[in-house]
Amino acid sequence: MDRRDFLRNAARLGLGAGAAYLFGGSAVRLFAQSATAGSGTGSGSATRLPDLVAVKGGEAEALFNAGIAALGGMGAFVGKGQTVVIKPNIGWAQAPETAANTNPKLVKRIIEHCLNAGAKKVYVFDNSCDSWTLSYRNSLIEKYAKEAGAEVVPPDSSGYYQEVSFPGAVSLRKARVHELVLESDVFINVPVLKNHSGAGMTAAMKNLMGMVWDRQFFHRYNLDQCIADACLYRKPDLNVIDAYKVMKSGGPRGYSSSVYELAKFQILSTDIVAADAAASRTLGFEPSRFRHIGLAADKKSGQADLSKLDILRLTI
Amino acid sequence: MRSGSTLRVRATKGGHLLLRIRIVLSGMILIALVAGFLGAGRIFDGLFATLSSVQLFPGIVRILGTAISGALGGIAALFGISTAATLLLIILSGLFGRLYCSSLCPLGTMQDIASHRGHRKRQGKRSLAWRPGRWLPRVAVLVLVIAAFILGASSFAGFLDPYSLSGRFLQYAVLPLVDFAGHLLAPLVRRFGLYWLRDFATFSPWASLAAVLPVAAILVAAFFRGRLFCNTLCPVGTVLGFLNRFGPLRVRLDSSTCTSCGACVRVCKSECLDTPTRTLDASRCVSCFSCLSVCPTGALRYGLKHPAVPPRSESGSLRSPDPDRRSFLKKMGSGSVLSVMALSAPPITGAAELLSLKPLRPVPAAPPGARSLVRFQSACTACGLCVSKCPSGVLQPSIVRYGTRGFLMPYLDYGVSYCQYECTLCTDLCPTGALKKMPLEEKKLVQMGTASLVKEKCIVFTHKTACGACAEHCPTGSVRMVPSATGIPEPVFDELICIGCGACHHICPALPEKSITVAGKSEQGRALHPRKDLFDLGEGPAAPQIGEDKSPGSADDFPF
Repeated sequence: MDRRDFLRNAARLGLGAGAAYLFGGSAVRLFAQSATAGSGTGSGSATRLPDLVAVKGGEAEALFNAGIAALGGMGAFVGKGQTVVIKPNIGWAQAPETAANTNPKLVKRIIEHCLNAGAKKVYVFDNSCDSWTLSYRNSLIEKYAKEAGAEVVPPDSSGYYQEVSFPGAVSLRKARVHELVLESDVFINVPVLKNHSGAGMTAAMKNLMGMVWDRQFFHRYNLDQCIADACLYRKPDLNVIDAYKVMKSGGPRGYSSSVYELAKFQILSTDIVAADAAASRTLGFEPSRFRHIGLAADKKSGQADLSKLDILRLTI
Repeated sequence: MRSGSTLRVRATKGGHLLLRIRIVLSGMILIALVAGFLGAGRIFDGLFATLSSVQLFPGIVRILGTAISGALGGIAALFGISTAATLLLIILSGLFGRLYCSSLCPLGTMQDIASHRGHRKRQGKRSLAWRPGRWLPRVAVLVLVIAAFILGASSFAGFLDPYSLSGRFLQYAVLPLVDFAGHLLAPLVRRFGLYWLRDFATFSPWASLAAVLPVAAILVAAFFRGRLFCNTLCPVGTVLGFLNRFGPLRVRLDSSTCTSCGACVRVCKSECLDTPTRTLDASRCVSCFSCLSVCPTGALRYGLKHPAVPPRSESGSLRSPDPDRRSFLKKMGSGSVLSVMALSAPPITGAAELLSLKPLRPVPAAPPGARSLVRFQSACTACGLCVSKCPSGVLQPSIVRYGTRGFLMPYLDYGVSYCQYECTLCTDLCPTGALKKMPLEEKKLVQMGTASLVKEKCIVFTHKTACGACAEHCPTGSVRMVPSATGIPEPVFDELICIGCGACHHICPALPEKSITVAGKSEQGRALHPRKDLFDLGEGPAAPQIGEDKSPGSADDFPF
């Protein structure tokens, strides 16, 4: 990073933090949304926030601190008195070392940021693959989220999943989505980046499968298409991809023979497709390798062409 | 407190101290067991596990099962803590009266509540009365229970074990009601931002019916006749009653101070007190201590035999309904002969085989640690504890799958869920030892069943779209996705490392029939360790070429 880059980044950070301080709450959220509305145009004025922030070189919490500051602080997303739902990947009854689930410390830090920004209530849930009690417990996410003051919601009651239609969807036209995703003011998607036996890669878009009741529908009716369709009801307000420790083979569950890379990396973006495109590069592949990324881009769910994005790269 | 050889505890306003201790203790134990079965959070789990493991009937089954298995390891297991607790409890019951019946037995306490209601309902009217004890049915039932074990139909015996009866009642009848109440309350608590509604646990009407009927009958009987079940059908009651006759410390009636007022008879749930003859049938006394509070003269007391009183004075002399020791021993003797016959006669086994419905084919998968179907069927009393605690709900009661002899015994229902790789809860908790306790690493290799993959039904081939749900869920890598010419990864299956957990079976989305299914094994096997080289061959759709220059950690550059 040369001096010019550094100064530019510092200016952005300062601007974002300043704006968060001055306006606070939902006013900044509006500001943030309008600022990112023209993503992909490539015209980078000094007041615009980046489309995507990539941070590397630190612990998951530190990566998030730097990343969210670059996006204008959590106050840009969470207003006072708002409800927040955080959707980590808690798919498997595996310990944090396996990186099969989102880093629990990252989840904790995000909750803390939300509460500091004035959130009334922060919910954490995932419709896990393994037994939810074991997954919540073994992943340590339940423990850390409770420590941070979040409400950890059991995902096993079909009664909380309401049927909604996905406008423009090809395969997943209707699905039952958890009320928390339907009704919370802010929706934060916090996947972990992994290799995936079915979809090739799991990151931000694939993580949305855990907000839906019937997982088998995805597999039954064209997995890649359903993953792309899942973005068409409500896109997360913020995606934070945990790539601190990346499972590069044997995903999504992971085996003793899985290959890992300690990448100490994190991707933050309001654009779920852009986040996944960046994630695929992080895994070592072009985004075009994973069909769901292209399918989602076709539906205008986001920008899959990384060259058209205003990307902020931070090393801490 | 102690005068001479008698432990005398003064009666107080709220009832005799022993009575009050018994009521509080039994109430707390019942609440803990109910809370445990209904899943009231982890705070109860430790206490719950302890209370289940000291239940007498399952404890005895466990000890006998371990002893019969004969192996040195088995004998070592006899010195386990829960086994020691069971033996200690039997010894204590022999020394201090039927403590198990009065406090630890959940069905006993439930009967006491029913009996209390009955007593209140018919205020003043003399409802409970002395009735002669009958040894023959008691011994006969005990013999039948033993025979059921020998014939490998332990779940039948479970229909007379008060703990198993209670467990099933709570799991299959009370829990669905609690869930229903939760459903009704859910919209209300939802307004406060709480999401604790739970779905109905998988509901089996037959299991519920089989759980409700016997307990309902027992409680109705208790409403009118107190601890009738305990002193006619309950095998634990029979054994402890026998011990109580010779126990040094128990409730005793001093016929010299008894005025035959009959106050005790009206509160005696065991119907074992007779005032005209001034007798107490110790074999039926459940040590509930209710009589101690009402006796106006102090003739009833809990303690050692009074030295001043001649040995047989308790039995009175007006009439002698209490069977004397000789005839009792004679009956026990004939009972033993009967049981030996039952055990050794192959024709009986044959007849039982003819009468019983065989397990369905393919056999259902039994929980980990069941070892073999035959063994499992001779040790499981179908108490429902594992079903109640299974975190995924994969354990469900069998109606016909295990055949008649396995009625309500747990099997792995892959339609509901799958066995969790990182979990040993059922084997940890099983009170009868039907499921062998083992370390997690050992359990991870237990082959409960074997999967079979029919590619012709697989989504990848029928729909030509990506799936991989089976591989995604497989904990050992026995089913995994390999690259194919079409670009869509295809599943391959490796039987040697498959443990039959049913994850693939459960999640396989193929319709109308699943492409990968798991069948149980009548003898559980041992899988090989998951291979270390599963992914070294570049298998898998996204097995990366490590060292590609895009790796973020490799250089100071970002991958994009």
